[in-house]
Order: sequence, then structure tokens, then C-alpha cells
Amino acid sequence: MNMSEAIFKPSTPYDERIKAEAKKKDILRLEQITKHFGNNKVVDALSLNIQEGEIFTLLGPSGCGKTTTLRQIAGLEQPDSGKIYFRDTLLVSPSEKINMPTHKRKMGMVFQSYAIWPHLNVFETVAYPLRARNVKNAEVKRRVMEILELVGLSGKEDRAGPALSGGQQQRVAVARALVYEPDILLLDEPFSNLDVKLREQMRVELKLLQRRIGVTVILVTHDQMEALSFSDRIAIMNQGKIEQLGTPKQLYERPQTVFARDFIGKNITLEAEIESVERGAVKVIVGKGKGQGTVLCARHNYVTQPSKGQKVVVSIRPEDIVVHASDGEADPNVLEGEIDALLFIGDRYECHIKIGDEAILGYVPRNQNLEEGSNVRIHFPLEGLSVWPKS
Amino acid sequence: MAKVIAEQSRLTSRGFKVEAGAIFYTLILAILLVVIVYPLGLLVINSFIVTLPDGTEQIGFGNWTIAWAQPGLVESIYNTFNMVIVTTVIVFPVGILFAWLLTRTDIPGKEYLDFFMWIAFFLPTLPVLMGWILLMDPDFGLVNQMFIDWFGLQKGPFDIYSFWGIIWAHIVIRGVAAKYIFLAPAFRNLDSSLEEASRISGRSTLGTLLRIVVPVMTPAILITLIISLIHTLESFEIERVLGPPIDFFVFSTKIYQLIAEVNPQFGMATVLSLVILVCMLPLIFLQQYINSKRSFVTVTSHFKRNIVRLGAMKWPAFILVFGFCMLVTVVPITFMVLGTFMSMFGFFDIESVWTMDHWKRVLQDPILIKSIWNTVKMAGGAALIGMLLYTLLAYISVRTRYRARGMIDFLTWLPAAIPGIILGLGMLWMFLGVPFFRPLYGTIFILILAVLINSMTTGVQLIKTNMVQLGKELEEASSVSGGSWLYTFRRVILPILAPVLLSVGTLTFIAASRNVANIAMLVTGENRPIAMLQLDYMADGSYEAAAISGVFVVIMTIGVAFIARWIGKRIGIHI
Repeated sequence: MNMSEAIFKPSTPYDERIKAEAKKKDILRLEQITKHFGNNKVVDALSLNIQEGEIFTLLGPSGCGKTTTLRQIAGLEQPDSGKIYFRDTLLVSPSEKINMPTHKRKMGMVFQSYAIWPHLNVFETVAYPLRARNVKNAEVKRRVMEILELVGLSGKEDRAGPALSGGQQQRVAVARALVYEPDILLLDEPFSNLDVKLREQMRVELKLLQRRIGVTVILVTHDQMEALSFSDRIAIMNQGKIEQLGTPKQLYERPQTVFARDFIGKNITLEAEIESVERGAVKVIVGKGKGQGTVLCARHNYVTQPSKGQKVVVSIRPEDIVVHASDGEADPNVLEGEIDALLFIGDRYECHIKIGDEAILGYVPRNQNLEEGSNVRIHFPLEGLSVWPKS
Repeated sequence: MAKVIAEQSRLTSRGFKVEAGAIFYTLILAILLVVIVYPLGLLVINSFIVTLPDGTEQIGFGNWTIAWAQPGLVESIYNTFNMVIVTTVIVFPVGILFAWLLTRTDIPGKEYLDFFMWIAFFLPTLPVLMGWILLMDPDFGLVNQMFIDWFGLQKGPFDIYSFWGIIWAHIVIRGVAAKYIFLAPAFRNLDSSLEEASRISGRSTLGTLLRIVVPVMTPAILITLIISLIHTLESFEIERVLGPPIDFFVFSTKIYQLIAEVNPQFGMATVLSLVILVCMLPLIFLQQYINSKRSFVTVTSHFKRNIVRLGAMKWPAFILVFGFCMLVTVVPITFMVLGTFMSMFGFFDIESVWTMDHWKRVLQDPILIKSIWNTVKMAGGAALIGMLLYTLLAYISVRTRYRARGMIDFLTWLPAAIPGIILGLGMLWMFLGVPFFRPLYGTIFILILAVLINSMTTGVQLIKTNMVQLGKELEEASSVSGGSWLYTFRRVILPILAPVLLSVGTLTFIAASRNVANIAMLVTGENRPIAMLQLDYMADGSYEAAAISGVFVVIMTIGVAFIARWIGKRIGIHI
């Protein structure tokens, strides 16, 4: 979205966007879903609309209720209260004693462990959903071969499931989930058992496959990279509730809550005090404890009622910081610091800088020659800076 | 919060989650209660019911006072515990030694010795006992005759019909082999990195043994000890054959004697049963306690075993174990088979020692053929029903959230702790006393029921272990793929569990074929299986016919075990 249009108030700028998107048809609707395990409230009055044909991701730390939510959609768990609609069909509603069993929900699912049955070969594993629905033999053969072709497993149909590699097992699991042409494909951390290279490859493959067949995908993951690169929309979950919902770009660039800000991407914060509030920017003073302090100008503000002298924190992503050698011109929004440690990580340097008592992290291109111990000037671009209440 | 939870449990109890499944599970529970708890309850009640001379019944302590006044009864309880303790004190250390030798040392021929132990574990009691009678009978026993010939003694030194004869029988018939079978896996799975970590941390070999090996092994050893105490306590056949000639009774043979009399003394038998059950309670609780506290050390694939070098002791140790293996398998079975070809069992110095007459006579005897057929029906039926029933019970316990599944767990475990003869007595009471069940008395069906209950604990436990390892996602994947519960059970759960199911079926078949204690009370002339026929022949002194029956019992136990092991190597059955 266009940053200059960002409205200077703690609003929810994606509201309009959501409204615009809501014109697309919803395929799945969760209303006030609540689920306890013992005394532990795992999902807390959660409501969601998932649109036809999108890749929707539930992202959150372990124990946030994302997998439980997915399993309730699949019917593997029943909510304690709330409703789930598939298009106009009510799938589950405890208060009305309605619960459509899993095997009638017409969804496909890829499990974290892939759940490859050890006693069936690839063909029979993929044919399973068709056979369970009494599809004719010739038809079974045609569709299985077609889907195996699609996931790149042609010629492997006689292999035993456990004899396959991790990536192949995942393809089998995907083929099994898709062979019945379900309307919704559920993915429960499907990439977490693969090594990094394979994970990236499978992600691209699966995304391309989804674009081709147009199935609606609901993904559960704790890996933010996976969520950002794979999804059309993401819901960040925390303690059974949705913290923020939006496109990957919205979530990354404009997190609305402290949790969302800290969960996605790296983030550095500095303690500050509000100096003045203007239209389109907030001026804060950093490092006021010792001497004069420096004024920084931030574009975004998440403090509900900002007033002069209020203690706040300013936040910025490390990649937005620009580090210069110490002899540059005096610019606005610049702090002085000293390089503590310079770590070469291949494509760039990770630069740990000490500013007074505080330490921050910045990224430096590998062609920039800096040395540990040298003094530097750190530029905080206006657009990247945001002001948050002090927690 | 509390309100929410109350609301939730109200919803649940209103039946939102009550599916057809729960009704089905309750039905299974009800059946278990009827066949296990109801007979035991009958025993308790009937021990307090006194029959007056005019035939009326009233509640009272009559049975208890009469029972205590009978000298034989108290003596039988004393004999039971005396026998159990002496046997355990001898057998247990030997079992531990053998388990250690065969799993953690470089003793030669490990696989073969292990195989012999395995055979000894599956061999039925009576045929082995027959072999030993032939060797150690005070009058005609071969060993005794050798001693008389060699040393010019008046009388042989050994007498199998004695207290120590009974102890010896317990040692060679499954005693040591059972301890080995239970302990060997625990010894084998002890990860040597545990020991090595202790060594690196500065402990000596002995210090490591005391601080690491013993504490790690203690739960397994204690559980085996308790199980073996319970097993010895339950023993019946050995005492039934060797006891009466010297007027030695343990509680199980006493109960049998009380019921088999012309005027069966049911009252006293129930009193004796209850006393034994009460004596066993501490053992049962201790076992539950240890089991609940025991943490299962999982074995990773990186696990390594530490092998102790025996050095000069290597061959003496081998000879010790090998000699014992021969004593418990080849020697007694050889002599039992020899016995079937002898004119008179045990008499080698008569004119025509060898004959085929017994075989000719017995093979034409419809009783033997009928008994074999009975065993096939009983053991085969139990194996088939057992596979299905045990799977169902294991499934309820492992996979469902059925509320009374704890109760089902308890009921499946209970039969292991209750002596077969007592369960048999309770069932006898139920089948004779309840008009609804009476038509079943004398049929093969009630024998199947009795042996099913007997094998239930092992069977369910084996399947449970495998089911726990079977990831729940495998089932859920079927569900999401459109498979109903039944379809999932048929196409995913059963096929994956097939190897363990076949193992359980085989074990049930073998246990049923050799079982005597559980069915002794329930057998009639009509439904008598071959093992029971052998016992009856032995009790009558017809040793030649008993030996021939014994050959068939061996075929139907160890023979089946061999076949299963041979086929199992191809399709993954382990027994």
C-alpha cells in the first residue's frame, strides 16, 4: 500500500481493504469458535472468513491454537461452542447438536507427519479417498495417474510409502489430499519436516499447483518466512485469538500490535520521549537521560493519545536502518554510535551497534567497508520508524 | 471460567458427543463385567451363604467357621506360600543370571541358547512333567536306577513326588525360562551410553553398576518378580499330579479336590478362594504402583550395547546355560516320547520293553480324537475371537475418549492377577446357577470364554503397545480422505496391526491348547480338550495314554509356535 497515504492515527488501515475483498465469495466461515482442553482455553471466540481460491495462513507460536483451529475445520476436533459454515452448509454447531463427521466434509489435508500408511503403496495411498467413495476402478486409475503426474511422482506408483524420501512422501500426501478435488486443502505445517532447500522448492511447487487448480488452501505454520512467501492472507494468532489479519505485506510493514510487530521479522526498539505531535509525523527525543538527546521524526504512531513528554518506544526494522561511516553530513534522524561487532553472514554484514547504553542491530551491504570499534552515523528513515506505547 | 467449563461439561453430558460408539463401548464393558466381575461376586456372596440340612439357604459365617476348623485347608494355604517363596528364591536369581549372560556378555551361541529358552517358555507343563516323572520316579525313575546300578544303593536318591520334587518341576518347567523371557528385553535395551556417561563422569565399573544399571533396571526386575510370584501362586497342574500321592495340597488343588468330591463342598472352596485373593491384594497393588511410576526409556536407533567379555569363564558359562537348556527341553520331551513306545511306562527291565500297542490302541480311541478336535475348536475359536476382541479393547483404551475406558483397562488387566482355578470356580457357579446361562454348560463355548479371559491381559497389552506407536494421524488421514470409522478400521488400522494380531492369535492359540487351570472346573466329558485329557490320564495313572496325549499337546503348542515363527519371518510376526 502507499505509505504516504498512511493515516496518522492508531487506526486499522486494512479495514477498507478487507471490505473490498469481502466482495469475493466466502467459502468457509468460522463464528465465535471456542475450544477448551481441560481448563485451558485453546481457541477463544475466534471468527474468520476464508475466501474462495485464496491461500489463507494461520500463523502463530506453538500453543496459540492454530492447529486446533485447523483440526476443528477438518472435524478432527469439535468446538465447545461456535459455528463453522462451508458456503451455506452448517458443518458444526454444538448448540444445535450438529456435527458433520470428518469423512463427509470433502476436504483434503496434508498432515505434519504426512501420515503415509505403511501398508499401502503409492498408488493405493493416493487412490484411497476415491475408493472410500466407491469411485469406479477405471476412473480411480485415471485420476490417480493424473494427480501423480501433477505432483511429479509418475512411475513411482508401485513403491511402498515408507520407502520414499521426505519430499516424495510430502508429494504423496499432497496427491492424496487433492485427488478427490476437494474444495478446501488443509495444510498442517507441511514443510516443517523437510530440509531448508527442499522446503523452499516444495513451497514454490505447491503455490504453482494451487494457482493451477484454484483450490482454497488453509495453511498452519509457525514459520513466518513460510507464511509471508506462501500466503494471500495471513491471520496472526496468539492465545487463541487473532492478533491481526491481512496480506503479508500489510503485516510486515504495518503491524498493528506489539505481538504482531515482534513476531514477524526482526525489530529493534529504542526508548524515547514524545517531543511534539504533528500531522503526518511524531517527533521524539532519544537518549534524553544523558545530555541533550537527539530528535527523531517517525511517520507512524500507535500511541492512542500522544502528548508531549510521554515515555514511548520507537521501533524500526534492521533492514530499514542505514549505517554510514562517521564523516558524513549532518542529516535529520541520525544517531551516532560505535560498532560493537560486525558479523559477515554471506550476503551482507550484521552490524551490532552501541548507542549510549542501548545496542541495536543493522544490516550493512557487503561492499561497504566498516570496521569493528569505529564510530558510525545511523540514519533512521522517517517511513520506517514507528512510535509505540512503552510496555 | 468455571462457569464456562460447567457449561461445557453439561453440553457433553447432554449428548453432543455421545455417538453410537459410546453405546457400543458400554455394551463391551457390560459383557466384561458379566464374565469377569459377576463370577467373582458370586464367590464372595456364596462364601457367606450356608445351606441348612433341610435345603434352605441363609446368610451366615458357617462356611468360614467350618473351613478354618478343617486342618487341610489352613495347611494348603501354608503349602502354597511355602512353595511360592522357595521356588522364587531359587528361580529368580538364575533367571537374572541367564538374562544377563545371554544379552550382555560374549557367551558363545547366544541365538541358539535364546531359542531353547523360547521353546522352554512355550512348552506345555504336563508333557515336560511326564518326562521328569519317567526320570525321577522313586521306583522306576531312570536316574534313580542309574544311581542304584552305579553305586549299589538300595533306593534311588531322587523322588519327584515330594516337596523338593515339586520345586524342581517348577524350576525346569517354564520357571527360569519365563523369567528370562520377561527380563531379557529390559537387559537388551539398556543403552550402554547410560553406563558410558557414568564412566566418563568418574565412576568405576562397580559404582556404575550400583548407581546406574541397578536403578535403571529395578522397575523391570520388580515387575518380573511380582508377575512370577503371581504365576507360581496360580500353578495347578504340577501340584495336581505330584501332590496327592504324598497328600500335599496347595490352594488350587485343594479347591479342585473340594469340588471334585462326591459331595462338592462349594462353600469351603469359595472361602479358600477369597482368602487367597485377599493375600494377593498387596502384590496386585504393588504391581499397579510400580507400573504407574515406571518411566519407559525409549530406545533410539543410535543406541549401543555394551558387551562384557567373560574371558576364561566363557565356556563354563556356556556349558551351564546349554546344560540347563537341554534339561528343560530336549531331555524331558525325549523321554516322554520314549514313554509312548514302552510296554509299561518307566520299566526298562521287563521282557518286551518297546511296543506300538499304545499308539494303535489310542489312535483308535474316539476319546482322543474327540479331545484333539475339542482343542482345535477351543483354541482356534479363542484365537479368532481374541484377535477381534482384544483389538477392540485396546482401541477403546488407547484411541477413544470413552469415559469408562479406565474401567475397561482395569478389567482387561484383572484376569492376569486372579488364579485360573478361582476364575474357573466363579464361572462354574455362574453357568450352573443362572438359568439363562445353564444351556451353555458343557459346550465348547464356555471353554472358549475361559481361555479368552485368561489370554486377555497379554493380548490387549501387546496390541496396545503397537497401537500407541501407530500415529493417530494415520487414522485422521483416512478420515479426511472420506473414510468412515468402519472403513478406516478395515482399511488402515487392521492391516497395519495385522502382524501383531497374528502374533496375538498364535499366542492365544498356544495358551488355550495347554491351558488346564482356567478350564479344569468347567470341563465335562463332552467338551474335554486334549491337555485336560492328559491330566485325567495322569491322575488315573495311565501314563502311556497320557504320554501319547502329551505328544499331541506338544504338537499343538510348540508345533504351532514353530510354524508361526517360520512363517512370521516372512511377514513380520514376532512371538
